[in-house]
Amino acid sequence: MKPKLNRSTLLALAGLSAAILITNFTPKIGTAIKLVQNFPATVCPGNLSTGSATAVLANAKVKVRSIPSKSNALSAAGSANNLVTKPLLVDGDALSAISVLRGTSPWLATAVCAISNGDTWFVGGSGSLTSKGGLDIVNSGLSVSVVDLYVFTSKGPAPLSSVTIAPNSEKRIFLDALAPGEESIAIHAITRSGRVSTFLFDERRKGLRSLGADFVSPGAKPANHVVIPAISNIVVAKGKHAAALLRILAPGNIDATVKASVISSDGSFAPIGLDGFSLTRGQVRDINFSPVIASGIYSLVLDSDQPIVAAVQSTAAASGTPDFAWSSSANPLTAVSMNFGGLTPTVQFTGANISVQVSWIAVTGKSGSQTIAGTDSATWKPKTGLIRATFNNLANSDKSTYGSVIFQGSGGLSHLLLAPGAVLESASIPVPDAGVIARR
Amino acid sequence: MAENFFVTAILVSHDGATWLPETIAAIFSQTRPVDRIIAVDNGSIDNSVRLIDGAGITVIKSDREAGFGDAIDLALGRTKAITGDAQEELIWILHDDCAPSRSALKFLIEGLENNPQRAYVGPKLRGWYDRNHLLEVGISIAVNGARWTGLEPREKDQGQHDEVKDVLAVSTAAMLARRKIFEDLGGLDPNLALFRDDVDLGWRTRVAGYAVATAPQAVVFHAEASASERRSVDVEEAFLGRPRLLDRRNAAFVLLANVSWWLLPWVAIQLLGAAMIRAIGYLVAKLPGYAGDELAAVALIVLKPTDLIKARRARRAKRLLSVQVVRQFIPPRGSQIRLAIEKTSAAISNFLHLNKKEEDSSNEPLSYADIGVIDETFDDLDAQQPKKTNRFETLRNRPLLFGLAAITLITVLAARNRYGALSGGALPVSPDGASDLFRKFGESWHQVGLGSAASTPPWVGILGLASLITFGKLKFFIALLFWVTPPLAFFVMYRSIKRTGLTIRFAVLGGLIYAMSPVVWNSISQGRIGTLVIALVAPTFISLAPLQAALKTSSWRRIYYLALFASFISAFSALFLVIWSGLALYFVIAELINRSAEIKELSPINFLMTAELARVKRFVAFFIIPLLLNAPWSASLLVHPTQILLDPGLPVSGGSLSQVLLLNPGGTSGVPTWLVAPFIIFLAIVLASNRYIGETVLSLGLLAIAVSVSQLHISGHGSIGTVWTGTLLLFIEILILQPALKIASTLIPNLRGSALGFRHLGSAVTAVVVIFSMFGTSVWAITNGANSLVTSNKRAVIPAFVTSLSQSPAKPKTLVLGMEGSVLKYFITRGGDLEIGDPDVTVATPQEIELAVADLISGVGISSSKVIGAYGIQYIFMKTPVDPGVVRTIDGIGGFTRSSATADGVIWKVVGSRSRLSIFDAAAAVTQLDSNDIGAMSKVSSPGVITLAEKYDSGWHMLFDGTPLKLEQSNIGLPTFAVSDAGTITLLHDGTKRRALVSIEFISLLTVIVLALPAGRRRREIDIEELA
Repeated sequence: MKPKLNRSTLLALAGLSAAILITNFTPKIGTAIKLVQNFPATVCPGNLSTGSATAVLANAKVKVRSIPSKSNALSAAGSANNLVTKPLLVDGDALSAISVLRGTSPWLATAVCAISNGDTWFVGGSGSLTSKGGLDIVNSGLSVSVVDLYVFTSKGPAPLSSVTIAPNSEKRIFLDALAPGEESIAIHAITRSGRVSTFLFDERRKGLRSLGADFVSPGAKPANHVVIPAISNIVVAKGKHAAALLRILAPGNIDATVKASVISSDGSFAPIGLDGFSLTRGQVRDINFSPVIASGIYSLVLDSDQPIVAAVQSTAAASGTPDFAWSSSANPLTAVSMNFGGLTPTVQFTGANISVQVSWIAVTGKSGSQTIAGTDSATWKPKTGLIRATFNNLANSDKSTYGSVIFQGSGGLSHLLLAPGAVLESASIPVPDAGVIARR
Repeated sequence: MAENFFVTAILVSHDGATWLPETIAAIFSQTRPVDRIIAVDNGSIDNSVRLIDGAGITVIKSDREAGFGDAIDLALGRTKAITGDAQEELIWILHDDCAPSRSALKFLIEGLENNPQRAYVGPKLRGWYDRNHLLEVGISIAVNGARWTGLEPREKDQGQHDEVKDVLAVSTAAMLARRKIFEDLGGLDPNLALFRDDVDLGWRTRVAGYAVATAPQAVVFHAEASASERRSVDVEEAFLGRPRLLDRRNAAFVLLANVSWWLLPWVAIQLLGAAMIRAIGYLVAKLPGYAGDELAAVALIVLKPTDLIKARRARRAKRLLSVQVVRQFIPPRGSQIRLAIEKTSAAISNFLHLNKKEEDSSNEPLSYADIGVIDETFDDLDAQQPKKTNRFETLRNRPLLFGLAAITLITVLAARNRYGALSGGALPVSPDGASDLFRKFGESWHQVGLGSAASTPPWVGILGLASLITFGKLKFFIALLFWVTPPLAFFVMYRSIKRTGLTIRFAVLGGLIYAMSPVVWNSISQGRIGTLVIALVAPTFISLAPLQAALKTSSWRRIYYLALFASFISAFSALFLVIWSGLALYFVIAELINRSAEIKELSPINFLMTAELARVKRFVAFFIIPLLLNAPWSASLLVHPTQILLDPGLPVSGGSLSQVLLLNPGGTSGVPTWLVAPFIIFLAIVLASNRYIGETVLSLGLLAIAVSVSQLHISGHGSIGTVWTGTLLLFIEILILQPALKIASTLIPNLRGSALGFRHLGSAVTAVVVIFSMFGTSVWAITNGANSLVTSNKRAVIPAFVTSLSQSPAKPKTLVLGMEGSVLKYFITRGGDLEIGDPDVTVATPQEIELAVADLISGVGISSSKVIGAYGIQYIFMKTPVDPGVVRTIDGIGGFTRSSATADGVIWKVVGSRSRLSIFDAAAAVTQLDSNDIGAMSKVSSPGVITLAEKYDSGWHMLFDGTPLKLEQSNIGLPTFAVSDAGTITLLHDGTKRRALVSIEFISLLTVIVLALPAGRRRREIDIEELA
């Protein structure tokens, strides 16, 4: 005869069962983490030359403020294409604004209005006699900013230069002052404090004659695999294409051995002189090369045994006037929406398995959408100028798709990274927690 | 030659009929007969007079209030002194309760013979009832007034004191004195009617140039009837007839009347101090009368100083030698301390012995250990000749040693990252010493965050007290606690199981299972100091069966003891406090419901007044005492009921529902769930056995509570997390472990003789799970378990320069930001890392600061710096890992100037921040005022509004040139005071309420401790055999 359970035991068992059921099926009451998500405000550079500067915004209602300004308040821009003289603080938006500088010569320089992530590599520019360009550091915050500049030249790294920028102001440092006489330079800018945007504007002049200008876009951080999409190979004369100059630097402590390959719609090959070369650590090296391809645009892929940074300057004469573009190394493509302000971009994608969806609104008011697919290289060029376009990498799992924009036409030559000026940032609303000051 | 002496025996009686027949017989049977005998009766109301008269002794009747010295004087007055050279008269003073042995007088006379300087000799006094019990062989007095015999308690006479020696004094019981000297010195002092007259006489004799000696061959048996309160003390000087009062008063009188004048203040202080200490001791022993005697004795001396002055004058007249001659007879302090220790240890031993007797319902010894055999393995050893064994076999044969060695080895290996100052998980860093914890416990305003007036839980004080074991080195104590917990837990559980009669092997197994349980190891790993302490005491508490004690109406002392125990556990677990109080209340209500018919019949009031309520009263005591002893913290739980679910320290989330059901409390860096703890199987076995109803129901109930609360997120103690159920699971483990082992102990022998069946399979599965769990947990403990949340010597969170700045008079605070996962958290520091006890008093941050910080991080807080600065926060520190977005936002928002950015983090200075105390004058100029950590005293040079950068609390007070100022609250919630002129201000936080409540708590604690301790016995209650 098996013993029967006592009444109290049964009650306790029933209580336990009820507790399990209630706890299991009751919605979990957890701690709600309140998030604040926003696009941080970006900064478009002011007019850095004698031509015109336009901040191309999403629309006329976007709030902006000039830097410096008496008031800290933002106000509506009033126009989507803002002619600016001073840097412009642009309220955070998913659509990346761009800055378009046009020279009278003419030349074209474009840059994504951005906010620095604190660690920026510029590979380009020159401190030679012809250089009229400079580093434009804009402190859009209300505290003093400090930026450390590490300048690399063909002779090696120059001494550290720290720059202090007053709140709500900009500071321009001419390259010939930063690296006097240095033809080949690369700059590593580290923001120690403050909300800073840094732009490198490279303008060359020989006497009164303009040799062109372009913004040097902030490139990817030092890596063993560097991809530079959208290098102009525009035909400047029969059988003659734009000249190409590879600027490369191994910023680490070890010399690097680099192998380059050109990728275009014509295929992939290692150009003569770049199929394997060594690089002395800390020294910037310029290498001229001339890929023999029919395509008007190509990418350069560099593989190195040590982390490197690189960019390619392509030089061509638009309508007889010389201009150049600095094609910087790109990060893997993410979703990006960009205003083009009527410009007609040529977009090149590089990757093993390219599948990018492009949606656009043209200056004609028409909108369209297209999926760009291909292997190794794919190029997309709209028929007309664009108001804006959105690029979505459909092969999300494939991080090896890179893309950049090149403007090459009668207006001049310019390169633009296909990267958002600011990424969506989310921060949790802070919660008081004594654990923060506990040694845990 | 004995013939040279004429001996006059003087017998003094006072209600001594009990002892007189033997005393008289002993006098008359002396080998050297007395030459003359006279008796004085001090108003006996028994038949003492008839007995003496019947023996043919002349009796002089005196007053009942007459003193002993008066009686001697009376006798000497009635007897003519023998003078002349032929014979010297000796007086033999006899008490009615002392019986000299036959040769006593002979040996006493021999003691005086040929020693003309000896004024008196005294016999060796032995007990009347225990005739081997040595009472006195000469006496003295200690500087604290204690009567000093130099003998050990209950010392037996084995001839060890049989040499003749000079002493300060001898008892008047059977003292033989030269009459002339006795009379010359004035006899016994009439101020000392009874007690201590002998010491006084000896002292006076010594300083008069005479000697006093013992004659140990003379043995006298003494009942000490007056001292042992076997008869009333009726002398005139005996205030309220209290013998102890008279004794203490006389002791003080003797010392104060005889010592040199320059020693007088020192002796007086010692007497007062000793009286107070003894009074406290008597109070603890629940003898308030004796305590009163001690203090009243001092008062009596102080109230009648003239007696003392006269006595000192009289002594000076007869003094020939310096008082220094007495010094050699005053017991040295070392001897007094040694004796005090011996007495205390004897008392404790006696207490433990009595306690054990009470605990054991049957006096049957359960094991060899219980009858004092130290080697407990004796229990399991057959009564065989021991054979030679190797070391492994030795370990196998000594399971206790094996268990201890195993658990110690695991602990040593597992604790390799915990050697040093510990912190991590729920355990904040330890302050420097015990005094810091006492300060935290006592203060009314805690410098945590923006300040708190919350009640400090009592465990903080207990921890401080316990750390005195390591001389107040708290860091070492905490580390020690974490190191020794597994072996101690093993041993405590082992002892608890052993107590139930199970064999050593089962007790060792139980100890190992308990010590390797997930609750114990998760608590170590996660810094659960409360659960660890409870793990060390709960097995003993449960083994004392507290609820049964109340149900069986055990003695009140036991109830108080258990309630005190429950209060101790409650101090470390609010949840236990609530469950315990709830259970006690349940039993009270259940009892009243059961007796509802009786209540109806008698009416409720009559029922309460007349009915037998022993059980109800005991449960009421169980209900009230833990709440009272943990007040005011326990009261604060009523106001903030969610705090009940929080354990000491920072909240660190516990485990999932499934983990709790498997009796694994879970949590970060805890024992993995797949290492199934065997307790859930034990619970099933105990449940299926249907034999241990109480344990089963309680365990299931506790599990239901654990399940119900396990997934709740509770905010408190400065943070948020799911409820830690470890303490509840711990009690379940303790409750079911012993029954499970009992079942196993009866089942295993039966398995051998029965056919293969479910029981065999079940036993095998259980055994496999137990072995797997213990082995797995051991491996985990010494591998992953070593990398626990709690580790030693972690880096300080707050940068050193912030810490040093906090010591400046401005007392700046720092807002610390930190990322934990995707959540940004913040807290305010006064310059240091969070310390033990701090989380438990942390209260919500003011809403104004919450909003300002939220705006700051969102990038919209234009005025964030103003609010943050107004609260005295002078720095913002974002510790590594920093969020670049947040850093950029703070950089950009204005009002914050970047001070530095290092590997530790980024620091901003808050522009325009204020000091802790500042004044706004009429011109809106802000002036910093110096401040201490809590209070302040400063001068203001102009009228204005003083702002205190602390959380608003009604306890803040400010005096302006001694006049209280009105406390107001600013628009951002800060306490302010308006001053109308220049002057001195004094800021303070009123801790009167806190101090009063802590005092009540302390007094209650002392009262319960006293009630839980065994009561002392009045001398009249002690068996006469024990005394003499």
